[in-house]
Amino acid sequence: MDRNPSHANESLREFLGEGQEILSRVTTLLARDRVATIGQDDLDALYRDVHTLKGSAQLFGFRHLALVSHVAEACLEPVRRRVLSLDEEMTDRLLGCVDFMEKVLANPQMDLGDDPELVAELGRLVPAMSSFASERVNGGELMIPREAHPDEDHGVHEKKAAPAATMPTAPPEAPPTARAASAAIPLAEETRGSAASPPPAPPSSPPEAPGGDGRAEGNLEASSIRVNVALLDRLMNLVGELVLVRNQVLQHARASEDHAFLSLTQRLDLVTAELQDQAMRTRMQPVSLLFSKFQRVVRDLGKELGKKIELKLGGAETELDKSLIEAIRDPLTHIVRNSCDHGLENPLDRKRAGKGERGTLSLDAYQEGGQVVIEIVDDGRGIDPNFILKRALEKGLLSSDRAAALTPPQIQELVFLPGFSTATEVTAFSGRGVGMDVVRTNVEKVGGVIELASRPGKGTSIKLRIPLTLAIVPAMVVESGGVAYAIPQIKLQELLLIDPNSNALERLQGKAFYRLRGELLPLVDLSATLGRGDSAEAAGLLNVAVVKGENATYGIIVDRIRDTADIVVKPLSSFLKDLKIYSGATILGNGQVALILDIQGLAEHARAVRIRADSENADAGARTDEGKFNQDMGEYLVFRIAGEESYAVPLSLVYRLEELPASAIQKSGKELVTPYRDGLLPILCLEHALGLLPPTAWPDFDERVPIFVVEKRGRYYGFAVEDIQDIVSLESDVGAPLTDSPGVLGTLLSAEGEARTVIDVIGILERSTRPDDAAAGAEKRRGRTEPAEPAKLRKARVLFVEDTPFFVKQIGRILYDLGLDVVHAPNGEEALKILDERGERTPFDVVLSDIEMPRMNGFALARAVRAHPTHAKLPMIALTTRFRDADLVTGREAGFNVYLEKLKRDELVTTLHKLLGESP
Amino acid sequence: MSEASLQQLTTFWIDSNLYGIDVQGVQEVTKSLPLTPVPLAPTSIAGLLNLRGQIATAIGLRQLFAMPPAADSAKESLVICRQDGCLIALVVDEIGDVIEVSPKDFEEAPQTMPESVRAYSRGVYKLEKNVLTLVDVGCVTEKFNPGKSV
Repeated sequence: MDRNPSHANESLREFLGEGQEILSRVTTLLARDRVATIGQDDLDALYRDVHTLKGSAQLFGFRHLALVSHVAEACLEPVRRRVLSLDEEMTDRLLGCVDFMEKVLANPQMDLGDDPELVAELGRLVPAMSSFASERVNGGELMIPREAHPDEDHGVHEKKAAPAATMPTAPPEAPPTARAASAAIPLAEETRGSAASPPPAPPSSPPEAPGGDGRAEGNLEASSIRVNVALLDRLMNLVGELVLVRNQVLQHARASEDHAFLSLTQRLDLVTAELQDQAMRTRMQPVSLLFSKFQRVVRDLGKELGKKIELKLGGAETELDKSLIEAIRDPLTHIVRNSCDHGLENPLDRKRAGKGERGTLSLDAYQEGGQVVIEIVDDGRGIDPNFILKRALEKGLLSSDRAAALTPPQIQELVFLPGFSTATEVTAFSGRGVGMDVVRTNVEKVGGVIELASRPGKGTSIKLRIPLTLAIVPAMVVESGGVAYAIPQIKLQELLLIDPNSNALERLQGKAFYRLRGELLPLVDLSATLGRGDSAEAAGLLNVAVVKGENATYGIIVDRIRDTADIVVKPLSSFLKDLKIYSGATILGNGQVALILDIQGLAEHARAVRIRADSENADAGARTDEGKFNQDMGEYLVFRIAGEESYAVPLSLVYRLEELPASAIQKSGKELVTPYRDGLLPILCLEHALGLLPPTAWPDFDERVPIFVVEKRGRYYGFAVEDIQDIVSLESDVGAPLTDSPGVLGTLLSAEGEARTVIDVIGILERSTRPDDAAAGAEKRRGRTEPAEPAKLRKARVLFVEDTPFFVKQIGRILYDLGLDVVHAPNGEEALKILDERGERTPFDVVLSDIEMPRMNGFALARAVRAHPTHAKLPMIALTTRFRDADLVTGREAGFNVYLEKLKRDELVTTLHKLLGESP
Repeated sequence: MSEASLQQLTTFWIDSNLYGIDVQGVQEVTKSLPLTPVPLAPTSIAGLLNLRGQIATAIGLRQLFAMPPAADSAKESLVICRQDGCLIALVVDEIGDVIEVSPKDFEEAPQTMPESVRAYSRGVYKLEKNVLTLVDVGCVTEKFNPGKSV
């Protein structure tokens, strides 16, 4: 039999498409929850669909398909009459038939004999179905046709079921119980390839063809037509062209005085916009197409995993461009599988957790602000932050210091890190080693974002936000070096006009940064980055477009910001695709070609500093209002002094970066000072502190001296360096110093193995010899180095609560030097735990606590301690950088005995002495 | 290359050298059009242009053949080809006539041909007064997109 659809005609394609839709509908009906309670209407529809399929299959010569649909139909007949119930077993078998049929439809050209597995499946299915059903119905009313044409036997072995009667192969309407709903249809072989005729009667009872390529809802009244997707693509392209021409016409019109012409262009504009809108609609498909598939997936998963899962679908009519539906199919599947596999618990665990036995998984879709939001919510066990942290640490994805400082939302984000899930965790159901990072990549590839929220024990909610369409996007047109570029609106956060003389603008040897609401925003000069010279630094202001890439927010300096426009995205020719800084090209209204900037690609190219953009995730109490001290201690300012060695200082201690003319630096006594703000800024040289130069010698300054300014108790101090190199984000710990110089805190190792010495600026400042502090300075020095002190303090136990690794080391060292027994907690919550667990056996003598910490800040901790039955009287010292009067009051009210500033080492020592030991 | 008796070529000049491309591969020839530069692209990518609503990539043959820039660009023109679904515009000094050539006049590229040209040429045709270098557009795109063109 010639099954070769290279003679594929329209009818055959129709059959294949329709067949798949029927199977989809059938699956939806069968895979749904509590299918046994299915209504009569649905049963009738189910039967009709299967019956239709059988007829068409016969017509087009798909013998085996016809056979299987026939046995399915035969089983459904008593079900429809309510003689048999659609229980689990029946449903399973019917779904097994559907699986087989789907395989056949997926490979219409295949000769069944070529696939032994499929053949075997057929051999199992048919007799199994018939005997199963006939066992249920007394008297074996079911009849199964025998193999039709022996000469075409492809090795299919068909056993006759015991009570089955054979049937003639012609019109298979013989079973007395089956309705001969259709006219006698000769078997396929004779009528194969009947070109002109569309599928006759049988397909007409359920809807003939859904509209726009796939409305799965079997709405009998819908007048719709099946359209080839390629045709729609071409249509969309043409509409895109029209949009471009329309844009150009409008531009021309602006310069015209011809009223007739102008009104024509207006009309053209309206019609084109309408056409664009409608054309986009033709490609829109309801997400129900996607969702309904999950019925089956969830059902099967539930069975395999032994879990009871109820799938709730909402917003099925929400529409999305077909290409986008395809794009999110896989990510969505992965999320659903994850939920079933890891999220939802088995009935026993659920009961123990006080939940109902059936887990609920809900898929919802709705439009929100130009995007489609797809929400997947489960009421499972949620994401356990401790488990995530443990796994992340195990996999070496972050350091333990960093881990201790994360807020719960930040911890949940860890699941998106590449390498988070491995083969051991990923079971057969969740996919082959596909992790959430791949999901995120795929979603972001189409311009979407994925958000995760979870409550441990309660459940997890994942949101996908997808743009409505890809082809035509709103964009901002900018100009640089006389050439226009387009920035997709979705990546654009805001526009800035920066005064080049502004205080907030800082330069580090060619790299510019802007302090925007407390954060350092790297600036990228578009012209310079593209190798076309620096941006026109006009006398006026700098135009900056703040954009957000995958994980970097930065500002692009351009010459001019033009206007917004809806642009048609045209792909770059294949030999330009390697240029990661462009994501396509477009034709502007004036006919010019403009390249579309790829924000992430541009960032990587400019090697912009990666500053984590999600400040929204940061704990509310973790940042001061001025944002002076960056919560993220992983950032260091790297600079050079006296030659080649690289030094570093924690960025959080740096108040500002300056570049001052050497001519402005003057000597004042033994010091160097320079006019700064409204006063004088003392300039210190690290060479002195590190013993590289005698105190009377000063290094040679260049014409312009890079300086980083440190603030201490309202006073500013400048450290002159030779060269400020970079701001780096390093997760590593500050290791023990390689040398024993004062002024050195330790060594920092970069990922590449570079070692940088970390300078102890606070210590240096405290030792600095300022004329008016000379006496105090001398005393401080004494206090620091006298070894006799520790002996005076009895062995006291301190609960030291601090989240910032840098300060943990710094202050911890002081405490150790004093001979104290230190127990460390990274935040208030942990501190309380420790107090509860150990506070009785090994009592603490004092609590030393930071204020700004994630999870529970210092104030809350103090209050909790004061309210504690056992530990209420514990002396508490607050150590902080927040030192305003209001803070003092709050601190006292919360229960702190003493409120100290972090950078004042000696005050701390004195206070501890007072509290714990004999005074010096 | 057709096995038929005569082949038609679109010809053009770069300096005083004559080059040709099979007409089958040429969509049209036009005068020079404004180009939008593509920063950071290879130097032989002259830019992008708007060809009646389609974006074509302009390739400077002079740069490709490692020749110095033209002294006089008055007659600069574009030879528009479609290759692998992409629109390519070859920037040439001057357009020549469409000529017919015979396979018997075809020879392999001589040793004297510079390597930078040989990479894109299949050979030469010996004409009455001239030697015409046959340019293979497929080789041109192959250079930028290894492994992708035919």
